[in-house]
Amino acid sequence: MAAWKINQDFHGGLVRCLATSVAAVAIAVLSSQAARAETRDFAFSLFYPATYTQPDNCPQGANPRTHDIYKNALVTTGTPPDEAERIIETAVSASGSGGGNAGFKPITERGKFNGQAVNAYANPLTVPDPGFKTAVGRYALGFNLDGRGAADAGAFEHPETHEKGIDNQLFRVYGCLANYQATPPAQPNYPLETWEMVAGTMPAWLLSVSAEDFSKDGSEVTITIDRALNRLLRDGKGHPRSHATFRVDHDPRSHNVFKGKIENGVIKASVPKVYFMGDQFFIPDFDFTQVKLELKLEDSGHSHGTLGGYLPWIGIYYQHGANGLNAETFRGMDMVGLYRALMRTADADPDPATGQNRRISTAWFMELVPAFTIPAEQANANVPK
Amino acid sequence: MLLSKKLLSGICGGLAAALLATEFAGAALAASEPESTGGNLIVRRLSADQYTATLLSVFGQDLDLGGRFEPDLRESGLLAVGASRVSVTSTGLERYEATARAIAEQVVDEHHRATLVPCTPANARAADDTCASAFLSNVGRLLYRRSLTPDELAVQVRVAHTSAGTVKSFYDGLSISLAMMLTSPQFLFYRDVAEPDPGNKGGLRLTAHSKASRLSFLLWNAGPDKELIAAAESGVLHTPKGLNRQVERMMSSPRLETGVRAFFSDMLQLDNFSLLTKDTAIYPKFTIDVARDAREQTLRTVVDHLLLRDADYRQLFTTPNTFLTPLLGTVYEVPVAPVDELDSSSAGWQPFSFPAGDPRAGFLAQASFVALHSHPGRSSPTLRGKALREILLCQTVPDPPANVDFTIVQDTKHATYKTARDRVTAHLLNPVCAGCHKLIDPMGLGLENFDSSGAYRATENGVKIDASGEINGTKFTNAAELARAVSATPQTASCLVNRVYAYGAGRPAVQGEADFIKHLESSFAGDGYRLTALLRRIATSKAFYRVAAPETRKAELPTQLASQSQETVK
Repeated sequence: MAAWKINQDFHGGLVRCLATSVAAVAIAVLSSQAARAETRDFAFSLFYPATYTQPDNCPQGANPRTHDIYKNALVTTGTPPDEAERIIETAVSASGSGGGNAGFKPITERGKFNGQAVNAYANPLTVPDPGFKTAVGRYALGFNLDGRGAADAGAFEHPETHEKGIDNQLFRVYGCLANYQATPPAQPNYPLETWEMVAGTMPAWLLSVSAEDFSKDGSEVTITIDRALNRLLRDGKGHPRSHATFRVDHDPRSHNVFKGKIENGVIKASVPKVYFMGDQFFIPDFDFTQVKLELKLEDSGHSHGTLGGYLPWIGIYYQHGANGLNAETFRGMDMVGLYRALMRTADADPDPATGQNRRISTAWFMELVPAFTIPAEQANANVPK
Repeated sequence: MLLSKKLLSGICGGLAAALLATEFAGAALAASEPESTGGNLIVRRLSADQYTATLLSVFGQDLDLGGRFEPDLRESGLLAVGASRVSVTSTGLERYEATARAIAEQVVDEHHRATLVPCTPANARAADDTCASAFLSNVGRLLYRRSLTPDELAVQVRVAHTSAGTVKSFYDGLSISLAMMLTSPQFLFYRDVAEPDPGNKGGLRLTAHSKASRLSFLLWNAGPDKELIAAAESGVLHTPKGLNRQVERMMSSPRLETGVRAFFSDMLQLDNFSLLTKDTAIYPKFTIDVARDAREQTLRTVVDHLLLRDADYRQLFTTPNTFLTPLLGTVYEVPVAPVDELDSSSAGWQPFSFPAGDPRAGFLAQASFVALHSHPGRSSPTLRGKALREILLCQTVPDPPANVDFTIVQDTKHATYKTARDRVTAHLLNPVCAGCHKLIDPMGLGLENFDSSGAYRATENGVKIDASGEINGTKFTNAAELARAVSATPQTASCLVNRVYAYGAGRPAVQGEADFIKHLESSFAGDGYRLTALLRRIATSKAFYRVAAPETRKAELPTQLASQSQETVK
C-alpha cells in the first residue's frame, strides 16, 4: 500500500512535473509570440457594391425611371396605354394623399399564373421580360475570382492594375441603374442609403487582423470576421463612431477565420468561403464563395478595402424584391427586369438539374473604423489598451 | 444612488457604536475647537437643485418637476455663496408659479392624493378645513423648514377653503393653497435667524431651526426632514449629543450622496456643462450625450472615491478608478461594452480602472475638466491653468485686459506655431499678457495631451506635444506628474476645506473664523484628508452655527482666509 502510494506519488509528481514543464515551455513560446503579435479590431462602417461607372457603360441609356416602369409593366401585360396612365395617376394620387397603396394593385399583381393575377415581385417569371439594360464596357473593380484571367470573355479589366478577368457581374447588372452609377471616389446613392438605414439597426460586422509585424512585407496575417451583438454608434456628424466596444456574437455561422499576407502594404487574402448574417432590409446573408479580400490599414487607425466573391443572386434579388413596390417607386428598379438580369448574368455555381447559375460574382467596397471587441459573455470591458 | 446596500448595512450596523463613540468624539472635537466669531446672517435663495431635492423628499420621487428657474450666481467660486446675493425677478416668479401649480396639481391628483394627503374630505366638491389644515400644516412644516405659525396656517386654510368653494373641488382648492406655499418667500428663501448663545456670553448663534437648515443643506442639499425639525423644536439639536446624533444619522443616509454630488457640482462648476459647446466639425465625437456622461463620470468618481471608499481627497487627482459609459469609452478610446446588447449608446455605467502608466488617471484628465475648460474648437492651456488655480487651489486670477490680441493663440493652423505651447509662448512676448500667463499657462500646458473634447493626442499638427511644466516650483513632464503635483500641493486640501465651509455657511469664512479654518485644515490632514471626516467636523462644530455679534460684524473682512486662498495671482 505504502509502495503503491509512493509510486503513485512519484508517477503523479512526474506527470505534474512534465506537464508543468511542457506548459511552461508552451507558455513561454506563446508569450514570446504574443509579445510580438498585434491585433487590430475594426467595425464595418460602410459596405456597398463596387462601381466604376464609365460613359460607355450604357449605350442605350439608363434603365427607365419609375413612371415608365409602371407604364411598361401595365402595357406589356395587356393594359391599353391610356388606361395605364389613368391607373398610375389614380394610384399615385391616392397614395400621396394618405390613401394607401391599393391603387397600385394592377402594377404589383401584374403577374399571371394559370389565368390568375399574382404578385409580380414574388413571382417575377410570371411577367414577360421587360428587357432590363445591363452595363457593357471594359472596366470594373473587383477580383479575378475564377482564375481564368484574360480567357474569361465576359469578365472586365481592372481600371487601375489592368488585370484581366475581373469577375464582377453584379456591377454589370446594376450598371445602368441611375442610383447605382458612380465612379470612385464618388459613391452610389442607393447602396449608401441602404447602408445608412441598416447600419443603425443591425448588429455591426467586425473584422480583426492579427500579424507579427504589420510593417513587414510578406508577413502572414490572420483575419477574423464576426458579427457583433450591438450596433454601430454614430458621432455628431452622423458618421460611425470609432473606438466603440462590441460584444462578439458567438453564432458560428458568422465566425470566419482565415489567413492572408501583407503585399506592398496591402493585406491580401483568398479563402474558399466567408459567411456573415446580414439584415432583412439588406441582403439577408452574405454567403461568399471563392473569396478575395484586399485591405489597407491607414495611419489614422481606420481601414478600407474590397471584398469580392460569388453570392447567391436570389439573396440580392430579395433585398429589392421583398419590398418590390418601394424599389420600383423610389429606386427606379424594375423588379422583374432585375430578376431576369440576375438570372442571365449569374456566372457561377450551376444548378446540376437546370444548368442555371445560382451565384453571381460581386465586389464590395468596405470602410472600417477602429473598434474594441470583447467576448459576448465578458461582463466588464475593462481591458487595458 | 451609488451607496451600496452593503455599505449602508455596514453603516447602519455600526451606527449604534458610532453614535456612542461620537458622543465622546464630539465632545473631544468641541473641546479642541478654537474660538470663532461667526459671520453675518444671510438669506439664501434655493437653488434649482435644492428646490428639486426638497420637493422630491417631501412628495416622493415620481413627481414631474420640470421647469427652469432663474440662473444662479457664482460668487467666491460657489453658487452656494452667490445664492445670498440673488433675488427673484418678476419673470422668475412667473416661472416659480407655473412650476408650483404643476407640482401642486400632481400632489393632489388621483394618483397621489391617497398617499400624500393624510385625510379624506367629507365632500370632495366642497371645502374641508380640518383635512386641509392637517395636510397644509404637515407639508408646510417641511417646506418652511419649521412649523407654520397659527396665523400662517390660518391663511393657507382660508385660501384652500375659498378656492374649493369657487372651483367646487376640495382637492383643487388644496392645490391652489399648496402652490401659494411653494411660491412664498418662506419656501424659496432660507434665512439665518440668530439668538443669544448661552454658551458664549454676549455672543449669538443660529436658532435651532436655522441650524437645522444649515446642517441639512450642507449634508443633503435639501431642507430638514421631520426628525431633524423635531430635534430643532425640542431643543435637542442645541446639545452636542443631539447634534452629533443628527449628524451621524444624516451622514449614514443615502441622501448624503445627493449632498456630496451637489457640493462638487458647485465647486467644480459642472453646471457650466449646460453652456458647453464643441465644434462638431472638429470634435464629432463630443455630443450632448457625451457632455452629460462626462459630468456624471466625475460625480460618480467623487462619490465612489470620497464616500464609498472614504479615501484621501488628494488622491482624487491620481486615482485610476472611475466609471464610464460606452459613449465616453469612444472618446477616451478604451473598451467599454454596452450593457444592452443591441444598444451601444446605452448609458450603462461601468466601473473602469485605467492601467498603470496611463495618462488618463485622475480628475484632471476627465472630460469634465479638460473639455469643460477649453474653447469650442481648440484646447486652452490658459483656461485650464486658470481653472486649476481658481477652482482647485482657490486662487484668484485677474481678468485679462480688454484689448488682448488673440490672433496667434487662436490660429491652430499657424505655419510657424504648430502647438499650443508654441502659440502661447509667442503670446507671452506681449508683456501686458505675460504676467498672468506665466502663472497659469505652465499648469495648463501639462494637459495639452488632451484635446478640447477630452480625447488623448500625442501630437498637434504633426509635432509631438510637450506637456512639461511647473506648478509652485514642482516640475512635471506630463499630465500624470501634474496630477501628482496638484495632489501634493497643500493648497489643494486647504482649498477644499474653505470651499466646504463656505458652501455650508453660504459665505466665505471671515477674519474671526481664521483660527477655526486653520483648525479644520490641520484636522483634515490628521483625518487622512477624508471628506466625511471634514463634513463631520464642520457639522458638529460650534463655529459653523455661530453668528457674529453686531460689533464684530463691523470688523469683518469679507475675504477667504486660508493662507493660500488669499493669494491673488499677479
